[in-house]
Amino acid sequence: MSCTSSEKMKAQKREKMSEEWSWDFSGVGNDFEPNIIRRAARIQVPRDESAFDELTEIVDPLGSMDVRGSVFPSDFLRGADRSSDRRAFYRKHLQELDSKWKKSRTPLVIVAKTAASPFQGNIGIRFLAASDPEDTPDDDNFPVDWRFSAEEILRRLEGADTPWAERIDAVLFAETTAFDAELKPRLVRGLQGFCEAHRFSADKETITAVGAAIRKYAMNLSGGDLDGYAHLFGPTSTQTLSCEVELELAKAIGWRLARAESAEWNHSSELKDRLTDLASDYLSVRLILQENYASIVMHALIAICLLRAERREELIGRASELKIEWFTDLLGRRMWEVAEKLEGERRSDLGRMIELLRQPVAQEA
Amino acid sequence: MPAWRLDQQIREVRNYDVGGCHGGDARFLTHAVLCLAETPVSVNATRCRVGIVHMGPPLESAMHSIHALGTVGSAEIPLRAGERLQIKAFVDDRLQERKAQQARLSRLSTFQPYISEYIVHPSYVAPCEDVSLWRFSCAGFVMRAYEEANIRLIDVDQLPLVPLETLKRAYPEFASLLDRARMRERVGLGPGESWPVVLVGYLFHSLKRPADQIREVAYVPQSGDENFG
Repeated sequence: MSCTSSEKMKAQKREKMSEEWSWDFSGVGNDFEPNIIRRAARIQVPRDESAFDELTEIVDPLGSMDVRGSVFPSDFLRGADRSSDRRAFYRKHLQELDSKWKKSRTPLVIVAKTAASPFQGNIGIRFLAASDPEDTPDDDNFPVDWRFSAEEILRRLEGADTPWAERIDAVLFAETTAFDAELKPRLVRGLQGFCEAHRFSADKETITAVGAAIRKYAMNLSGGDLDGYAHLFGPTSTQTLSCEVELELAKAIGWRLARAESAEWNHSSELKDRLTDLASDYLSVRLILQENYASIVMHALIAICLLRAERREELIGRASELKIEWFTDLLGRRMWEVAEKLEGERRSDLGRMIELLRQPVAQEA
Repeated sequence: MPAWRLDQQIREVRNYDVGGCHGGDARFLTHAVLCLAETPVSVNATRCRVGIVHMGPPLESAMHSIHALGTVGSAEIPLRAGERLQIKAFVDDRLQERKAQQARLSRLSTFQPYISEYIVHPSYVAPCEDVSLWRFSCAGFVMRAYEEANIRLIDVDQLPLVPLETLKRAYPEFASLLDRARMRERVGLGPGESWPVVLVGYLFHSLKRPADQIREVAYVPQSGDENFG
């Protein structure tokens, strides 16, 4: 709940700055800080002090693009106080702002309202515009970083000439972005292509992105996409998947199958075969007790059961016969959590697998 | 009764024991962590820095000071080896997924990436098609980890309602943000003025019970249990 110590330091700094920001910046911008003005689409000042506190907490240093406000023409600002002392003070703080927003992560710059402002009685808002001062911002036109835009992410995923850094960013931020139903086919194709191209990479950053792509891809699969997913499991004659990628593939398809809307998600024989091979290869005491292999096996077995693969009983029996009590206990409970959300034949079949898993333990007891 | 505020008495921290941290009010625990200690580590009120894994946010392993300590078992009968492996499987999976979140945070230091992995209510949310990673509160991460070991620390079906003012004490750095309905919505708090949120103190009241009771019965928190010690 409470953030890390670095966040506490940031909170303290924000508090200090909000105390210092009791000055009016309004007369300074047009002839004074062109870099900030050029980058800022609009600069907004809250109407009252409580809103100002809220905005400084949001914007600095974490940033927010949700703040709105009214705007006034920039010529309103002429005639503001221009004493040399204030200029020096403004310059210092605006340079701080400048360095914070060098990467332009937000188009907003907060300008404080001062008790000494000559405009205090009239308005609480100033507008220093790089754009048309008559332009009133609204929700549809509010600038958003492309990494939070589903369309922009897709454009970069699909673009043949997308720079590598942007393609990685597109994959990473796709994981936490919602895509409307009409965009999902493009999303699935884009992510499948990325996974296909980079699943054997040994580069850590790429492996991380492939993991994110796999999770998002799997969670947005439709029943007709299973063969494409299955293909990702396959090694070639010269390359094999890393343990990390295998884990994500097994885990994510398990998540998706558990949420499948229909009992008909069991027609991909390639997916059944791939998962069966994976689970079969790793079902040994020596491997299960090593890093991540237990997770791979558990997720693969759950997926195999949900797909009602032909060899599911055999594999569940082998898992039970390993006599790794913590493993079969955890697997059984995870299977039960999934079964509770199913209905009809899927639920009863998974229940039967759970009983099979627990049988030797019960017999010994 | 294996849960304590740290004082001058030396306590031993074992792997996946629960650590608690307070903010300005020493009685009000605001953060929960899982301690990482392959070999037991001695702590007290003045020497209280341990390895941990937690949902800050972000989800990460780090060194952190703790002010309270809770363990499922007694010193003589701590968490079983199999239970630790079950928790480990869960934690390792989440830390692997977390690499992508770390990459996102390194690219964009704005608020939004933190929200994509954090939730206040419910205490944890499984992946879905919109956000394909687990989301937790700090207490939720600890709770879910223990559920992997078949230990339900809190009965989430019988939670007291927590008013906004208490929530703001639980999140002091974001207190003013919680005044905004839109921000509350983002972290899972729907309309209203109070919500059934799991607060960190509840975990320690749960862990303060006899060891056999902790495993058998999920704790039903009462109003006021946000304070501990």
